Amino acid sequence: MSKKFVRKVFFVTYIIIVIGMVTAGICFSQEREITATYMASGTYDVAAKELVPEFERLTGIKVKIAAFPWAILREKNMTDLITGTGKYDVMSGSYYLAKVYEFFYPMDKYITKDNYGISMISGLMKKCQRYEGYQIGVPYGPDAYSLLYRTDLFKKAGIGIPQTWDAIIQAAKKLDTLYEGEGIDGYVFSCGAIEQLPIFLFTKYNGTFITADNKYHLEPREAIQAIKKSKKLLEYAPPGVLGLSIDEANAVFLQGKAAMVECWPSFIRAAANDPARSNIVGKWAVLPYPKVGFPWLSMWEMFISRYSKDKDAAWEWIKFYTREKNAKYFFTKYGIGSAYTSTYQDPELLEKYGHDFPGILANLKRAKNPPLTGEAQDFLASTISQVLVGEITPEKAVENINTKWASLEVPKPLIEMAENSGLKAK
Amino acid sequence: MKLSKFKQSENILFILFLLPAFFFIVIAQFYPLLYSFYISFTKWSLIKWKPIALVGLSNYQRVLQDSLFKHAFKISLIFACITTPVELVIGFLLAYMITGERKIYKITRTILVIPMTIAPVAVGTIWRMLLNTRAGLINYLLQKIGINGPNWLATPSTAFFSILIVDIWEWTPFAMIIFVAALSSIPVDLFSAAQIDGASRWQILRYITLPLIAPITVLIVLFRFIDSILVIDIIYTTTYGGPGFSTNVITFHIYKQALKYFNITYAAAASWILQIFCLLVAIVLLMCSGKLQEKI
Amino acid sequence: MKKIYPKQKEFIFLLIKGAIIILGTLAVLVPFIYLFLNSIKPEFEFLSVPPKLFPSRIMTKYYSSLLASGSETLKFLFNSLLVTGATTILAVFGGALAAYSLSHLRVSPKTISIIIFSILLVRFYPKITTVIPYFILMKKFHLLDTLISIIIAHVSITVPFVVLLMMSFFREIPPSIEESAKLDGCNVWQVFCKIVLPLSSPGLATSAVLTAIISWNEFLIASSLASVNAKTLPIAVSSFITDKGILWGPMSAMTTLIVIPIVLFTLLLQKYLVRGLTLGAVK
Repeated sequence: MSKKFVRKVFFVTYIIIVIGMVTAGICFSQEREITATYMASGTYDVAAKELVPEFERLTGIKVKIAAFPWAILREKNMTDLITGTGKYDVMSGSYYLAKVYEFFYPMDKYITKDNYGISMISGLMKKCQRYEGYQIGVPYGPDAYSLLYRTDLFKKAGIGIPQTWDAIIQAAKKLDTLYEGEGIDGYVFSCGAIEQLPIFLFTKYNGTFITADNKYHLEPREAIQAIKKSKKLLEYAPPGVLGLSIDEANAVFLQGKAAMVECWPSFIRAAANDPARSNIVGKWAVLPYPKVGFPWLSMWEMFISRYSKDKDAAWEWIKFYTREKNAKYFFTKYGIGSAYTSTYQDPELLEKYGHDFPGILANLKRAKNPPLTGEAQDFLASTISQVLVGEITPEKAVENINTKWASLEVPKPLIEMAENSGLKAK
Repeated sequence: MKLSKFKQSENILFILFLLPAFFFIVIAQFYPLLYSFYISFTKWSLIKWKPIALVGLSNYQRVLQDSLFKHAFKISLIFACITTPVELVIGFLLAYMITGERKIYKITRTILVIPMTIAPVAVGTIWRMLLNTRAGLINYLLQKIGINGPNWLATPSTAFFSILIVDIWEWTPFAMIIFVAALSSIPVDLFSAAQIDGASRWQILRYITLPLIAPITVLIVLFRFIDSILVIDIIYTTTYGGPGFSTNVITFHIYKQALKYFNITYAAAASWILQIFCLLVAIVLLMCSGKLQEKI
Repeated sequence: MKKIYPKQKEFIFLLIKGAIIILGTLAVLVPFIYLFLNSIKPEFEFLSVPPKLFPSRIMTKYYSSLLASGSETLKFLFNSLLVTGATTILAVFGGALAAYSLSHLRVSPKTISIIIFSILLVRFYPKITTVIPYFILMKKFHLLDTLISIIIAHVSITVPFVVLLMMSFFREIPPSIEESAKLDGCNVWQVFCKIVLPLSSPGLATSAVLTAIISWNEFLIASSLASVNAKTLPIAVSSFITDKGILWGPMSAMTTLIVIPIVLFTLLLQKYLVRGLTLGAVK
């Protein structure tokens, strides 16, 4: 037996031992331990990690936080469920997970037992995801797309609060010409973040998304005018607007170079109130959306996987993370939107944020989740992008969208959600 | 007789030698490949996580009728057909210039090799920064000479152009380094003989060098063409398929179908269509190269 | 060779050569310098219009936060090192064994061609095809999110290349050496270990270099298998592309960290790299 042969035997044995240990480790872990997924954002995931030690102290349950960027988070959650892996007990997600709702564990009995969500903003729990009548998710970090505007610039130009989209476009035009010398544009948006583009439809489109026979479909006339108006509004945006990421578009507004911005408030409000990070402190407010369509609701929800080996522990963590006690702290430290009315009525916070709380709250109340699957929404976004860069006309775009959408399957939970939110044709 | 017995037992040992490598290849490549082939003929239930019916070629029909698939395939073909010749030509040019044992040549070769050794993900992020419209280096330099740089990654035409540039930057070194080896392996006497006969540099290039490296060139075409069709890492980090669908290459399209929308049967059928295409190309090019080799 | 050509033409040619060398070198080096500068710049200086190329002050906070003791980056680095190391060892030895076998197996050339062809198959198809079935397989063996599943996948991708490479090296060993060893009483295994391997050590080194690079840089398979424990460095880079936009500072720092080992590796071992690539293609 040569030395080399012996070495090889050792090596193979080593590999076998390692495999054995790994399998053993998985089988024999005795402690209560759960894993929860969050979006890697520097906010939700960091907040979660901060809570882990205290939670373990109080309940003895260990929590592992798995954080991923948005696109990968969705992938990981779905793969885990579809393959029955059961690695994640708690999952963060939203309506785009509709394809896998049947894998989520009903929460109704937990909710009733613990009187959960009573003091949340009215209607929020109702907007949570349901499957066959059961509630499967509870909310955190709600955010509604909002239009922010420069109160000082509007005042100086003598413009009142515009009530319709045409009026908003006119205001943008006036401001753009008036302040051209100072390098200020009328409007800015992160057109480079293509997945954001559907908002152009949602807030200007008064129609339905699903037909009476359960197919995805946009009403052509309404949809075309929505896209046309969005394109018009962009004429008063900075020249590079088509390539701006969310951070960059927000930076334009924060540096005072735009009179209006349409954005997720949670990304911008902290900086907008901080003199060290922006030039517009005290000079902005939330512009109420015209009463057309709906503002896009981004409401994270936590779900419990059917494959979780310790669903009670999973619920305990969910309760802990979404405690009303945390709401104000998470908001101040991380800018995470609160689901509780009390946060918006807190005197200390009102003093600092009074100028945007009412507007934000109003948008939250009107906001809806679009009843679209990931594929439908992605196609919508990419097609709108084609219109903005001038590749196709709004008419052709709506035609393409309807053609593609007709070939897609609509999951039942989304049909129900559309019925409940008035987005399905009768 | 003794010899053949020895050879037989040797054979068995040799087969044993093959096992470790085959173990890995079978587990991680063959089995998944065959399984995905099987999937492409079924209707798949996400809930039960297994096929519930055999549907013949309907998945393949669905894929071939999908305009997005055709568009993605077209984009990939155009992409590969542009990058491959460009990388060939520039690679050859560079190789021609810096073949040799001089120190400066060696150093230059070493530096020029670097782009292809870095993670494609890293290449993508580097170029994403370079091409950023407002803050990127490229537009900054263009502005210095008075040109207003375009929205590189946000306009369809320039976005496609950008990914071409990224791929060319990353993989021209590959062509170059192989050409260098090929050029260095041409016997020097051939050159000396031609020079004595009074041939110009151009003539030597045309009648001696190029024909001799033809088989290798075909191989480079093979590697680069197929790898260009299969490109995904840089798309993922630079444009994510956008704007619109202008950089939605075929592998990226399949990736989205498989891991984003979980249209598993679609993805399986689509990837097998792509695979058969690549295999055909590979076979044709390999035969070409073989024939050219024989001529020499 | 060049001395015979007319002096003027030569000079112009030399100039062109010099220009191309300089341009090429710049084209390669400038992006990296830019990357590095971005990683030590305060973030708003990157986004500011017009951008400030050179940082007004040097910030090491991106690096320090990445390399801090509690950071995940060290875990990624460790994972990458482990995966690449194990892959290299397994692929090189497994591949060498297989190559030796293929070059000595007494079967028809056609069978050998078929085996080689099926090995080559692995090189030329979209890896996405195998991701989900492989995922299911790993799940059956409870190997999801472990480094082992990634290692197995990486070895399967790199072994074919090693086999091809080593076969061309083994072909250059004169059969007489092996014959005389056998006559001296060595069995096949001893011939392999004591004679063939040492003689082809440049080939082994080359295979190792190529395998290491491919494994270190691999993204698709690693990202689909890893979730919490088994993340490798390339996954880390893509995680900075968030929905808000890109965290330029940390991403530049992370990308620099990924790039530096490979660059050093290449500079030191370029001889093997070059040889490997050329032989792999030249056959």
